[in-house]
Amino acid sequence: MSSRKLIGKVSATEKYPSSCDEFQFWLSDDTILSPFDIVLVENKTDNSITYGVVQDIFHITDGTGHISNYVSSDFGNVDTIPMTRRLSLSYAKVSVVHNTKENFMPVFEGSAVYTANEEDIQVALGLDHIDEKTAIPAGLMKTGNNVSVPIKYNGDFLIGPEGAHMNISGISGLATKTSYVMFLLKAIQDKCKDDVAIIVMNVKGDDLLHVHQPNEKITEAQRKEWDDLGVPCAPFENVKYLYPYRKQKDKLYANTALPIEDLEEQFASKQASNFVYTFEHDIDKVDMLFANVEDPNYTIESILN
Amino acid sequence: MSTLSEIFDKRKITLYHNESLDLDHYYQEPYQDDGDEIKEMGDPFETNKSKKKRKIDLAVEDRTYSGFSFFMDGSRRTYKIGDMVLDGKKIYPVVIAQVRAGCTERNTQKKLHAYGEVQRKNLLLLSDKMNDVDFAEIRQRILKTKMAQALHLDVVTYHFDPNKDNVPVNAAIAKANTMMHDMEIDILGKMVNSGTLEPDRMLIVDGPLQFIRQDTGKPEFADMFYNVVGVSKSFDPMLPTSSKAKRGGTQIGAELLKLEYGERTPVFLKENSRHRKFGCWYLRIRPRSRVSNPLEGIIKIEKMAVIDDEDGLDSAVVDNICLSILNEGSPTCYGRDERWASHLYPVYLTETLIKSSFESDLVFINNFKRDFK
Repeated sequence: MSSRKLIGKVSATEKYPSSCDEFQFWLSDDTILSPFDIVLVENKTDNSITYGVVQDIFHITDGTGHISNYVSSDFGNVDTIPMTRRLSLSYAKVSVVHNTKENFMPVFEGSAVYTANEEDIQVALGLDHIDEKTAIPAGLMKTGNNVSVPIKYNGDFLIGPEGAHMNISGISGLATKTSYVMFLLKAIQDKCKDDVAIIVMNVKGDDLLHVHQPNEKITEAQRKEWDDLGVPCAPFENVKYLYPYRKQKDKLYANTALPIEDLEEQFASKQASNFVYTFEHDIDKVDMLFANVEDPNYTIESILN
Repeated sequence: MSTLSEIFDKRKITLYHNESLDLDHYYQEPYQDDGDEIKEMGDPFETNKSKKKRKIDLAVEDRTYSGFSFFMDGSRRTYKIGDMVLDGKKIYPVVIAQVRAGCTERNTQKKLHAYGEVQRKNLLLLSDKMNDVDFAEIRQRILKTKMAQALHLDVVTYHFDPNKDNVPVNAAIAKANTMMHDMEIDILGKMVNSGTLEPDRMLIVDGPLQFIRQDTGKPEFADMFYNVVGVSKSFDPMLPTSSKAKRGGTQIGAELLKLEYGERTPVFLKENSRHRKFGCWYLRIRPRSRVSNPLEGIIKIEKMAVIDDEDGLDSAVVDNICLSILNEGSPTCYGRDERWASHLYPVYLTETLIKSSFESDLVFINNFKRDFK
């Protein structure tokens, strides 16, 4: 277990006071910190610990403006080397997330600020109370001080019965949202086995049509991360692909971007099937085709039903 | 429980508290070289006897070098809290003061740190026209109180000379200044004794090397200042360059107008009342085009002459000092201090450190209005 490191002191000023929800602290010169790192302050008044998440990190000097810095560099001489290091410091803005004794008084000016170790991070995020029976690995949290902590979801709220939804948002094209979902589905499958059925609607070409196969490009470091999370670094089990019907025999009647060799392999191992809607079988589901079409006068409704 | 007035009352001296006056804002700060006089001489007080200004060629010199690693400053805040009446006839101000002195050191990462602790003294200044017995008794009573102990207070006298001081408060301020210089000499003495100062780790003192009272008159006193230089941000531009100025000769300000960036005057000789010799010269550290008036950006530098400097300071040493000071020109305190053009940044930081150790004016003054237990 890594140890806590003293990295700075709380700075409460007239303009930027500490509050119940946030505080600021200046960092020692050799500190490396990242946004979303967890830090803690020991409160001497009741020996409780206040935990916070770093929101942002700033660097300030005693220069009053850009002109001051320009003048200080011999009036714009880029080759000037200052003889004295300008009075400067880095400080971080922190949001309070937890106090061990439910004491939310603002942290005091001058209080020592430490980095959090693994146990501290578990406590700060409420992970020390999670039920291992329903916990599902969510990923590894890596902090600026090289602490790596497995984070877990409460499965009851992820896949039920208490709740069952998750929203992942991000910039498109970075191959992170889908990758994360696939990791999470693997973790769920590993945890819940046959108690959970996973249905994936594929809109991504053939990227997700190899989930039954091992990843040849995975590195040892990545494999270790899976091990740290307790999730086997292995392909999905019991996978079945259902392709929409296409009237093309040489494509095995499958409407897919998957290469024909891979398709043949899947059909041969009975992992793939085609699906088609027929009049006799699916006529009573036709109204679902028009489910998102506005029908204020019940026109389609009256035809279908 | 006695208030200050009651302590004085016991000796039949009446102390009238008044609306406390912050003397530092009331009286205009004199030039740092106030009282200086350049000794008339034929040749400059340096080994290069040319009477012309000298230029430090910054194009060829090492701009990354500074021979200075230590910076010393002292500061004081004075307040008039009342007047006391002696023998029912004469009235003198009662002044209190916070006096600080300290030194900083620049490390190899170019960062400034405090060198030792900031020396602190809090003073109650009374006129020396008081009867000695009265003064001793009042002093003893005050120093025994918890308030005085908490404040680390000392009670001292000041001497008002109508020929020298315009008003008695000036005499009190001068006394506070003298005690500040005492503290600076203490710090300097410790640095010298510990072998801290060296020719490439010299000390800049903010202001002139005016340590007259502390000057023993012996050669050893000058040895303390071997690696010390005084730098004044402000100076009297009407200082005569010789006694001829009294009959219409040149004043130093007129000479300084000719200085360009990186140029210095020849070294002038200055002697104090103990016949201690100093070499002093002026150096322009900011281009004339970059300052708002032609005398801005010029500093006065002085160095005490040691035994070897009987014929003048070594010009190479003087030039080296000038180069170091020019190299100290970056960064600046532009925007923070209106004296930025003449205020070297490490000296500014030292001043900031020392001034941060002052108690707030209101809190300090009100200590003397409360009960002295």
